[in-house]
Amino acid sequence: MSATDSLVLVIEDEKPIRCFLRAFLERRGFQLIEAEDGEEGLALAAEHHPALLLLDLGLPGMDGVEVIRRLRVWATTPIIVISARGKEQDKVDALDAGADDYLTKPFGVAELAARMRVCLRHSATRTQDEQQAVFRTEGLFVDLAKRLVRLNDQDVHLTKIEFKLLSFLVHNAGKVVTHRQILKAVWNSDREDQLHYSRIYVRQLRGKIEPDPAAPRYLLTETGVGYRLVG
Amino acid sequence: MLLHYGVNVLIVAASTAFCLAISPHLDLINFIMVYVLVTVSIASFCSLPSALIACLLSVLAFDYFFVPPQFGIVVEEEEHLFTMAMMFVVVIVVSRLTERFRTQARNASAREAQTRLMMELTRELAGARGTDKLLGTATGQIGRLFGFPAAAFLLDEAGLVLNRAGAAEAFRDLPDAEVVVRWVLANSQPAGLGTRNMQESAALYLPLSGVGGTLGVLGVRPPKDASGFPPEQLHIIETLARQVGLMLEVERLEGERVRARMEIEAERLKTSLLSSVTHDLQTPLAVIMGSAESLMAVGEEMTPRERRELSENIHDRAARLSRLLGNLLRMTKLQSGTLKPDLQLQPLDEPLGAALSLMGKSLAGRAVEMDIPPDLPLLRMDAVLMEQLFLNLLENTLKHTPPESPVRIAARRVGPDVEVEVADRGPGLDDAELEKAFSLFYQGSASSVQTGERKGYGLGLAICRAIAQVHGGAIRAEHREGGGLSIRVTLPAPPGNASLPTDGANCAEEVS
Repeated sequence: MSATDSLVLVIEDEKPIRCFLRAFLERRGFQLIEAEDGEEGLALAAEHHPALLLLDLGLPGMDGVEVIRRLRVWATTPIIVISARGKEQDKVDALDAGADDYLTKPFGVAELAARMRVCLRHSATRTQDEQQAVFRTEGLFVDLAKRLVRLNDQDVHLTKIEFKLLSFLVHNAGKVVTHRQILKAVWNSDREDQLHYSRIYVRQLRGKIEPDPAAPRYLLTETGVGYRLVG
Repeated sequence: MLLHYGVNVLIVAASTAFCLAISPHLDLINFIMVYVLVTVSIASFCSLPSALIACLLSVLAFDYFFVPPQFGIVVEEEEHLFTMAMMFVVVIVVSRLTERFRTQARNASAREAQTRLMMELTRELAGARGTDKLLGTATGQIGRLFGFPAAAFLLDEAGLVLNRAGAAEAFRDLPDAEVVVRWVLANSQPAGLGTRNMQESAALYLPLSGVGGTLGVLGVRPPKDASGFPPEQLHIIETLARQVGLMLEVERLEGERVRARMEIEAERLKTSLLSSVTHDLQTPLAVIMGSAESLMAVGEEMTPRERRELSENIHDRAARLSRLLGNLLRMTKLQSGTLKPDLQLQPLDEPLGAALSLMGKSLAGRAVEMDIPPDLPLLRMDAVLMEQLFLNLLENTLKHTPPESPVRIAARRVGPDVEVEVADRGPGLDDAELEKAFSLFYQGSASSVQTGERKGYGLGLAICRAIAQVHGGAIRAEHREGGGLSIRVTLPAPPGNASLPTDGANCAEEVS
C-alpha cells in the first residue's frame, strides 16, 4: 500500500475513539489524520485527498449525513460510517446520502479493518473495471459488457430487469446499496410505494445466481437497509 | 303561659267595658260580633286551652252583662244559648286551623334549617381532597353536630376492615363492630341500632355507597342510654352517608385514572429510555470495546504511553457507564414508584454536607459560599436521594461553568416551604432552556460550556426533579441576577415547628 492509498481521515468528536483507532489502524498499515467536526473534516479531505473516510454521525455542529452530502459533491472517496445511531432509518439516510458502509458502535476494530480493506479494494477495482465491468469471485463470474453471467461454469439466463439489477450491484460491489438506490437505478423511480420491488427481484436473482438462495453467499441482505454484493 | 291568660282576661274585660259603653245605642247581636272577634283573634295567636278559656269568659260576660235578664246567669231564651254554643264551635275551629298553619310554618323553617345545614356540610366535604380527608371531615361533622362519635371503615387491599377516620376508640369496645361492618359492606344496607338488621348492636352502621357498589361503612355511636336517633338526626346522617359514598366513588375513579396515567407515563419513559439509552450506552461501550480489542491485537507493538492512554480511557468510560446505569436505575425506580423514599426528619446540612465532601477534590479551587440559617426547620428527606440531588446539581455546575468560578449554596424559609438555591456564575441557560433542562435526556445546546469529555447524558437534572417530586417539592432554574444560573429546590417544611432540638430536648422522638 502506498502512502496516499493508506491515508484515512477520521471525523469523530470522541477523543478516546480516535485514540484507539489510531493505535490500532497505524499498526495495520494505515496512516491517520483526525478531525473533531464536519467542517474541519471537509477541509482536511480537500487538502489531503485521503483514500478513505471514517465518519461519526453525531458530530457537534454539522451533522455527519450533511458531511457525506457535501463531500459527495466533489469526491467519490469511500466513506465508512461509524455511529451509535443503530436505527435502520439512520443507516438508510447515511447510505442514501452516499456512504459506502455502516458500522454501529460498539464495533470490533478487526471487523472495521476488514471492511476498510474491502472498501479500498473495490474503490480501486471500480476505477479500473469501470469500462470492463467484470465481477469475479469463487463460483460466480459476471461480465457486464458481454452480458455474461456464469455460476459454477454454467451459463445463467437473466431477464432484462434482473440483469439491470445485477449490473447495478456489480458496479457497487462490496458496498451497501439501499432499496431506494436500487429503485432509482433500475426502475428510475422515487416512489415510496415501490420500495418493495427490489426485494422481489433480489429474490428472483438469488434463485439464479446463488448456489443456496436461502443462505446467500454473494448477494447479502443488510436488514432493513438494503443489499450488498460481496466477492 | 300565666301571662297569656292574664292578658286574655284583660282583653275580654276591656271588650266588655267597650260593649257596656256602647250598649244604650246598639242591638244585642253587635255585642256577639265583638266577642266573636276578640275570641277568634285570641285563638289565632294562642294555644287551644287559652283560647277556650277566653271563649268561656266571653260567653259568661256576654250572658251576665247583656243577655236578659241583665246581671244574671240564667238564660231566658233558647236562642241565646245557641249563640253561645256557636261561639265555642267557631273558636275551636279557628284555633285548630291556626294551630295547623303554625305547625306547617314551623316544619318549613325546620326543613330550611336542615337544608342549609346539609349544604354547609356538603360544601365542607367538597373541599376535602383524598379519601382520608373526606372521611375525616364527614365523621368530624357528625361529632360536631350531634356530639356523639362517628367512624368510617374501609376494606384495605388485604380485605381487612380498617378504621380510616374518626373516633376509632369509640368502636373499639364493640366486639360486633367488624361483623356488622362486613355485613353492611356485603349487603349495602344499614344495620345496627334502630334498623331492621342486627338491632342488638350498640351503634348504627350505614353503607357508603356509590353507583358502583358499597365502598365503606359509616358507624355512628349514640350515648349509652339512647335507644335510637331522632328522625331529623337520622335524616342528616343518612344524607351525609349518601354524599360521602358518592364522593368516595369519585375519589376511587380519580385514583384509577391517575394510576392509568402513571402506567402510560412509565411505559413512555421506558420506550424513550430504550432508544436514548442505547445511544448513550453505545458510545462509552465503543471506547471500551475498541480500546480493549486494540490492546489485545497490537498492544505489544504500542508505546507505553499509548497503552496507558487506552487503559485509562477504558477505565474512565467504564466508570461513566456504571454511573449512568446507577442513575438510570434510580430514575426508573423513582418514576415507576418502586423506589419509596425513606423520609426522615433531618437538618438540611446533612445531605448537603455529604454531597459537598463527596465532591471534595473536584470543588478545589472554587469559592463555595454557604448561607444556611441555623434556625432552618428540619425537613423530611431521604438522605441518600437528597445527597444525590445535591451531587447532581454540584456536578452540573462543575460541568458547565469555567473552573475557579464561584458556587453559592443558600437556604431560606419561603412560606410553608424551605428553598435551597445552588447558583453559579457560569454562562447560564437560554429562556427556553430553563424548563427543558429538567427533561430526560436533554443535553443542552451547543452554546453551553461542554467539551466532548464533559458532555452529560441529560439525566442529572431529570433525576433531581424526580427526587424533589417524591419529597413533595419542586425544582426550577432561573437566571441569576448578575449572570449565571440559579437552581432552586423547594421542599415542604413539615407542619408544626420541627426545628432543631434545643438542649435537653429528646431528639429521638422527632426523628422517629
